[in-house]
Amino acid sequence: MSSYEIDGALWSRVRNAIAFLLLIGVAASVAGAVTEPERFYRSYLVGFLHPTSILLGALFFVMVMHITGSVWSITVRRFHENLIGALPLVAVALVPVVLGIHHLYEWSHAEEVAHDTLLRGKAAWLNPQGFTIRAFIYVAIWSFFALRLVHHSTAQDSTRSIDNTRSLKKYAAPGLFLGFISVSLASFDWVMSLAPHWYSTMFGVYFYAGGGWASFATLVLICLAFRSAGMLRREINVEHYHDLGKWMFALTVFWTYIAFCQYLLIWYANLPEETIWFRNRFVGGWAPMSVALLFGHFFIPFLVLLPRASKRNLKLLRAAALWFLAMHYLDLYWMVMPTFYKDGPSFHWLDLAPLVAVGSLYALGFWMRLKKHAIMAVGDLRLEQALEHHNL
Amino acid sequence: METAQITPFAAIAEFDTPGALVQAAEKVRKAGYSKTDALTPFPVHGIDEALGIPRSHLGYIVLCIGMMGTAAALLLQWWTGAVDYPLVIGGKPLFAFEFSIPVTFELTVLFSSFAAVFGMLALNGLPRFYHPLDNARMTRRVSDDRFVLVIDKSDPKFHPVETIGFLRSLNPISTELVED
Amino acid sequence: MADLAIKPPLAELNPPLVEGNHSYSTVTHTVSGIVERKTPKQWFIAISISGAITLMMLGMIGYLFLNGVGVWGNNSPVGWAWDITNFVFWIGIGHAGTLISAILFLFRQKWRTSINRAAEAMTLFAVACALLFPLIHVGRPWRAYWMFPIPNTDLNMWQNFRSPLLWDVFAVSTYGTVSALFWYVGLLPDLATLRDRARTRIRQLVYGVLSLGWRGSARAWRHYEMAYLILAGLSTPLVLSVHTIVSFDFAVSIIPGWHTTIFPPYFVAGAIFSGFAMVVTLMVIFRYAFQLEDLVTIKHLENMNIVMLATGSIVGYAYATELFIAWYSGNMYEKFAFLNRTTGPYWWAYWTMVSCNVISPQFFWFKKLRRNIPFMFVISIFVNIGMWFERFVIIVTSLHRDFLPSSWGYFRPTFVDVCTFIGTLGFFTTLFLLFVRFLPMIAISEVKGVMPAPGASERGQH
Repeated sequence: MSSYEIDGALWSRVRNAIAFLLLIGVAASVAGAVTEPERFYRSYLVGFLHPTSILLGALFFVMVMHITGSVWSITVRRFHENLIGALPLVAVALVPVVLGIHHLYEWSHAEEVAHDTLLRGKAAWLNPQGFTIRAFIYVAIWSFFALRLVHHSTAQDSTRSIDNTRSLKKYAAPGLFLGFISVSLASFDWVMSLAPHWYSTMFGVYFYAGGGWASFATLVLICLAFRSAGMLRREINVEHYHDLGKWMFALTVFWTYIAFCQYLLIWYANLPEETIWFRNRFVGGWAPMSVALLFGHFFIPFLVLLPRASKRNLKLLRAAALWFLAMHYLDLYWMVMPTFYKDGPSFHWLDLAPLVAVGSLYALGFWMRLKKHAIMAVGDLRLEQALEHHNL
Repeated sequence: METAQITPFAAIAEFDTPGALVQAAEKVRKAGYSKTDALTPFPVHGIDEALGIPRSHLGYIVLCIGMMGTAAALLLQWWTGAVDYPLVIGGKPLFAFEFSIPVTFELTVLFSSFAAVFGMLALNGLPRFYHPLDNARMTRRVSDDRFVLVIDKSDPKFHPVETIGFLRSLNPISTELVED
Repeated sequence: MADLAIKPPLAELNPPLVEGNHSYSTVTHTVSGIVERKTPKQWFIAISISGAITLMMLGMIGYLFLNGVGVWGNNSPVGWAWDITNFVFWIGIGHAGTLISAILFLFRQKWRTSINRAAEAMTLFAVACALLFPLIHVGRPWRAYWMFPIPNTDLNMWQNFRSPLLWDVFAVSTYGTVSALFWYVGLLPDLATLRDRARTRIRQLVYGVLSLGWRGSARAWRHYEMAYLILAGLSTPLVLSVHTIVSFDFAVSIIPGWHTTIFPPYFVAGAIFSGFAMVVTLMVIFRYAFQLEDLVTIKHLENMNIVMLATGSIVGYAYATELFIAWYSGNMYEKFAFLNRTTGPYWWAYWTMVSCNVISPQFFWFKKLRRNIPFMFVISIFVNIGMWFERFVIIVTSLHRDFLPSSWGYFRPTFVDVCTFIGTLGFFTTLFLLFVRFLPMIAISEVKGVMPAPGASERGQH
């Protein structure tokens, strides 16, 4: 058991580093909010969505692994669990989005809505009160399932009881269903309604696919960081990285599939009310960014991760994971910013501050949990099977 | 002994569990045999390492032919639609990557699958309706529940009597010298 | 890790994939026995009935060819009706076979081994039924080769690659071909088993030729396993692409109720849902008929019911999203299409679909019910019905009230529509009966691969 606890001195050092980053991020964000509120809130939305979608992706996969009874993922599961344990913090990170609602969403201005027939029709859904209440309901749903899953998994560390495994399955099934619906609605509220006249039924899946993609990259980075600190080298070996690499590859394909279908259907039908969303992203400085996404989010990861050897090359996997996180940021930036800046992307120092603030807030949540329990799901009854795991 | 009169093809030994086969195979490789094989009812985990059989290179064949499929599909759609018989339909461009993706994908998969199946057969030398190993009494049960270890006569260490003797030392159910 | 000494109840987490006291050779015997025994009387009765229904289908098709598509109920504004409904229905059923053989393989779901062979056969036969409809609905089926880019002098032009219908030709024919290849590769070792067990000359010859001289050599297995893995890796995106492209047939248009971006994944989930229902229907019947309870265990059926619950819920999510976005869009035509679908003249079809597809699988939340064989059989039939209605609802309710009220209509099927569809059920059953009679309906070598090895018990399960 003792070998699966983190060294106290190391833990404190990293905690202090994260806390320091959090302080800087928050201070810079506050400064931005005071001096350039408009720019700040827009950047904040992207900076908030990036780490939040990663936590949500992690939630999805923890539940999927429980339902399918996946064995190989047992040794990496606790990291995912510590990530989703940070989901209640989304409620805190959400506050600036709610405060900045008038800077972000056209439909939040009563006078705009008054002379816009379409927006009047949607006012029952798109209004500031509903937006706020719904947002906190979503967070409540995610936190409830996340905390139940974490609870039963950590309890199993000492009980070693099959009852915990049964409970995990029991929570995972409805959690998956409600989680998927709430994430879709959240993506409609938070992202799609930035262009309130535009709509796409696929949007929720598109948003979630990106989050899941980045969450595997995050998991790989965490595992590799522990590996370089000399921990879990045997428990998370090249076979497990191979599987993580396969997931990264599979989700690259899945994201592309969803993104392409959404685009093709709109391109083909050629209805102006729908094509405007893509048109805004194909003009000026946004055009090269769209091309960059096609290559950076699909072609490069696809070709790099296709050979078996590259999924078993840990250095390459680390580089790919970092690349994924950057591309996921670009994807969200591309979804949010063209609504405000029609001519092209204009990167700003304020883009960075909220990302650091929210990212390190969740990282701190992750890190605080790490100390409380073993860093691996040591109580899982199939742990031995997971250690023997082997790929073709 | 009869063994002196026949032309041997291989020396074989029969086991009843995959575990026993892998253990024996390990010893055969360590004894310096390299022209070896095993006959099993299903792919046995660990036999490739035990006999020192390298990984299959089928993947590279499939990749090359699959990419030919991609190229063929794009050429076909571009040449028929934009070069040989250009006709504007529904206001769509004569050629665009958007509408050519579905057919390109399908043909890539079609070419790759053919490459995977026929490449596998070719690498295995199939179809092959007669094989000297069919002469052996025990190979009939390989497709049921027996695990057979084969040492080919082309192995530099092969010797009709000594190799059989060595195989016997591995505790098989039985051993046999197969006629060519 | 001394404290791991408490023996955990692993049996529940790793339920045995083969029940009873089976060895390798009894598995061989149980499965090959079905093919080798004297043909049971019931089989002849079943195939005479299904053969008669197939003949009726052929008669209907002949009648159609002689008289033209007018013998169906299709008429303006409903230009597509049962023909395309049946096409999408059958192609969707096929998807479960590929899902079981390819996707579950990649996910290392070992329970697939007992059902993948029959499910893949089902895929092939369902694709055969599906292919029939595009072929016979084109008006001049003897010109069907115009769908393929074959240089010829009577057409003198090329196919329109901008049309989703042509994408469909490529998708479905690729799908049929790759499924057949995958299925055949899987059959090779089992055909060799039948060859080695054959007693009559004719059996030796037929199975000998079909098995291509497979000998189970480790050097051959290595390429074989690689080919299987590659085919699984190719089939997985392929199966997604097929129903995606089928959904494009509708979704690239601008018809409200058809043009919506969620169609591709929604169609794929629906296809898997309906296919699993069909697998459950078939496996319940055939495991009983051939006493395969040890190989197709209750756990296998339960897992399939869980997949149905999951995919049924995804389909429900898609229905709800469509309704919500139709309202949210503020587009009057979108709103009307969905109002008309739920409360218009075809309200009964819509609510049949919702009850069968969304509500009925929800019973599978209860462990008792998803392990109850008669109950799951009934639900699987409901789901089959519901998924047929889903395609009918999508196609007909979106078409029957065009933008102008002057082009509103109400589709009614003719007896030719009905008899052709029933005929395909007979055709499908006939092919499946032939399959279970002459080929091993369970993948013998794959089941052996997931059985605990004899003498390995002291090393723990692996």
